[in-house]
Amino acid sequence: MAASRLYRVEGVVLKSAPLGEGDLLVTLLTRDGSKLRAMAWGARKLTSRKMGHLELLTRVDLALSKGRNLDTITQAHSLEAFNVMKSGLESTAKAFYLAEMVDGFAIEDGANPPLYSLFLDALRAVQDSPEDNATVPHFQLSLLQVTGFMPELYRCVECRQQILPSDHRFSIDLGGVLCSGCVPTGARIAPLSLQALKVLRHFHRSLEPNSSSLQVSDSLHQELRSILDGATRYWLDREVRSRAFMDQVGRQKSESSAPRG
Amino acid sequence: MNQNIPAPAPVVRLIQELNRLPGIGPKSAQRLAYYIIRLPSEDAQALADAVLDVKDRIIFCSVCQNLTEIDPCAICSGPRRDRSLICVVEEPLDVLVMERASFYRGLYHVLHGVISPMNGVGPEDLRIKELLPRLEDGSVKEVVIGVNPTLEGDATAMYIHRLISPLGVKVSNLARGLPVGGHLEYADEVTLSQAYQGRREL
Ligand SMILES: [Zn+2]
Ligand SMILES: [Zn+2]
Repeated sequence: MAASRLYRVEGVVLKSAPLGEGDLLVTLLTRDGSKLRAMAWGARKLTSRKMGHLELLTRVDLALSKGRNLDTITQAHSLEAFNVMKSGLESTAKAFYLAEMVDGFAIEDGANPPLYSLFLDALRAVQDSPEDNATVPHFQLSLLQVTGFMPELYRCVECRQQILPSDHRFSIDLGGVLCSGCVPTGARIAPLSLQALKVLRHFHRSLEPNSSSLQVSDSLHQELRSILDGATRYWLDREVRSRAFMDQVGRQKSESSAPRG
Repeated sequence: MNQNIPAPAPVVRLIQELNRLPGIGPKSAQRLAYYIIRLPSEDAQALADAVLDVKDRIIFCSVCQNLTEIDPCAICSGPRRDRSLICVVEEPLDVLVMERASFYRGLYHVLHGVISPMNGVGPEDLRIKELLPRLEDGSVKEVVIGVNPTLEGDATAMYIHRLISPLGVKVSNLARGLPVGGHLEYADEVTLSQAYQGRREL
């Protein structure tokens, strides 16, 4: 009887909220790609064996015990940790941004294994190649894809005709590209450069963000971001809050590296 | 209790207010509310007075941002403090803890939190920029960052370091490592590697 109440799971810590006296309410993305919330009693106490293992963005092996409302974490052992001092502030800010989006799109009791490997790959990519500015937009498109919100990139969302190069626009509301012949009322439509469309299609063909190793120009990066952030905001129905910090850190970096005089 | 009969409006309001406190979930809020309802009137009055009094009389020290009744606070105006040292901490409570340990004689700077991007807390929501004017006249030689060694704490430390390093002030971090009474086998990877890097000759 008692044995069936215990189980083990691997996951990455998305949120870790202090609760009561030294306890933690932990939200994880588990290996099967679903979200799990569990209590870690006493985890914030210096003598706790769980301390440090349940830090944000840590990949952790957990032993849990089923509870009536929330399950309880009985053991935690970190397998891989995100280290700010090693990876730098830019990578950390990006990692927070990825985690907040995953927290927004993942659901409890909704298995989605590709989501887990996508998230891990992206976390490793922002740590290993912090200068690669395509990692975040690539991850965003892949996230939309694995969670079922992939924008249409090949056929007009209105008339279903194959989109001809240079004869296209984009609508976040309608969920993808639009030919120049279709004029739907009430939808917001934005121009989309051919270059941006090509990059989005490239992201779509290769799911893993670390396989892109693509360096895009600042203006193209801006365009991709405005489209992907727009789509993310549209489906989450809210702003991704950690974006502000990511931008701030990016500005701080470029200001300090700019020649002075 | 019948779930269909709602609690009287003042009770609901008290529960809602308590629920807004950090670490208090709906169930705890309910428990506290019913405890307060059973309190003698004098005790309830004393609780309400204490809440209002603290809002009336406690202010932020204009120098270190700690909570105080007088400005600048007793530590900032203390004649025996070492003015070449500032220890940056997360919460007023951390100042009390450091003072209780009584080995530190420098000044403090209280951030009132750490950068927590996923919760919408950015550098501008903390008292970080208030640190800069304190470093201008060159009397401060070292800033010790004493925020908690969490991912958010480390990001905050690194952000502050980057902000103040152009001012030519030495910035250090509290040493990381194994807690006294802890066991190697239970140490996480980051703690262990930091403890190793911070090893000292015996
Ligand atoms: Zn069309
Ligand atoms: Zn003060």
